[in-house]
Amino acid sequence: MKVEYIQPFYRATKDVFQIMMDLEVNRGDLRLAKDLIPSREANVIIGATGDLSGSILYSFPKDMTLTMVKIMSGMELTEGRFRAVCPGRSG
Amino acid sequence: MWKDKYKIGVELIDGQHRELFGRVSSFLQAVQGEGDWEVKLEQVKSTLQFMQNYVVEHFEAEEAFQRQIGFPEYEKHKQVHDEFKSTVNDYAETFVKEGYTQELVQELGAKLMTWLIMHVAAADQRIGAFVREQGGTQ
Repeated sequence: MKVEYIQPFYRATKDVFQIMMDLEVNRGDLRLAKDLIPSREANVIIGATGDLSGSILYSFPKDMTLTMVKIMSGMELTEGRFRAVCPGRSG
Repeated sequence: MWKDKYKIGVELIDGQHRELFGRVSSFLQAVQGEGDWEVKLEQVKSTLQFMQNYVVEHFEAEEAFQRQIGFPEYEKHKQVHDEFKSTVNDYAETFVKEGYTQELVQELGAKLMTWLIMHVAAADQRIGAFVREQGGTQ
C-alpha cells in the first residue's frame, strides 16, 4: 500500500470535517490492516474501481457520530434516533 | 443550522440560503422529533412540497446571478444544481409510489442537510469569491 493512495482520502476527509463541522482533523499513526472489518457503530464503505480497485471504509464511534450530527443540524439526537442518522442506503 | 460563515456576501442569495436552511431544519425537526408518524406526515409533505418549489426558484435566481456576473464556473455549477433537483424529485416520486416511510423520509432529511451545508459552505463560496475578485459588492 502506497501512502499516495491514502493521501487524497485523508485530504478529502479533512476538508469535509473543516467545512461542515469546523473541526480540525489530525492524522494518527499509519498501519496496515489485514481485513476490512468495521469496528465501530457507524460505517461507510465506498467501493472504488478504475486504475485502482478496492474499498474505503470510514468507521465512527456512536457518540462521535451523534456529536457530528448535532454540530451540523443543531439538534440533539438521542440514541434511539441513531439509526435514523445512519441510513443504510446510498445514492 | 444556519451559520453566518455560510454567507457569500450577496444579499439576495444569502437570504434565500438562510430560508433553505430554515426549511431543512424544520423538516429535520419534524422527521426526527418524537410523536406519531402519521401526525408528523402532514408537515413532512408540506415541507417537501415547499422544498421542491423553493429549490427550483432559488437555483434559478442563483444561476441568473451567475450569468449576470459572468461566473466562469456557471455550467459546472448548474449541472450540480440539476443533479440535486433530480435527486429530490426522485425521492418525491418514490414517496408517491412506495409511501412516505419513516426510514426513507429520514434518509432524505440527512441528504438535504449534508448536501445543503456542503454546497453552500464550499461551492457557493466561490461565487462570493469571484464577486470580490471583480471588485464588486452586492
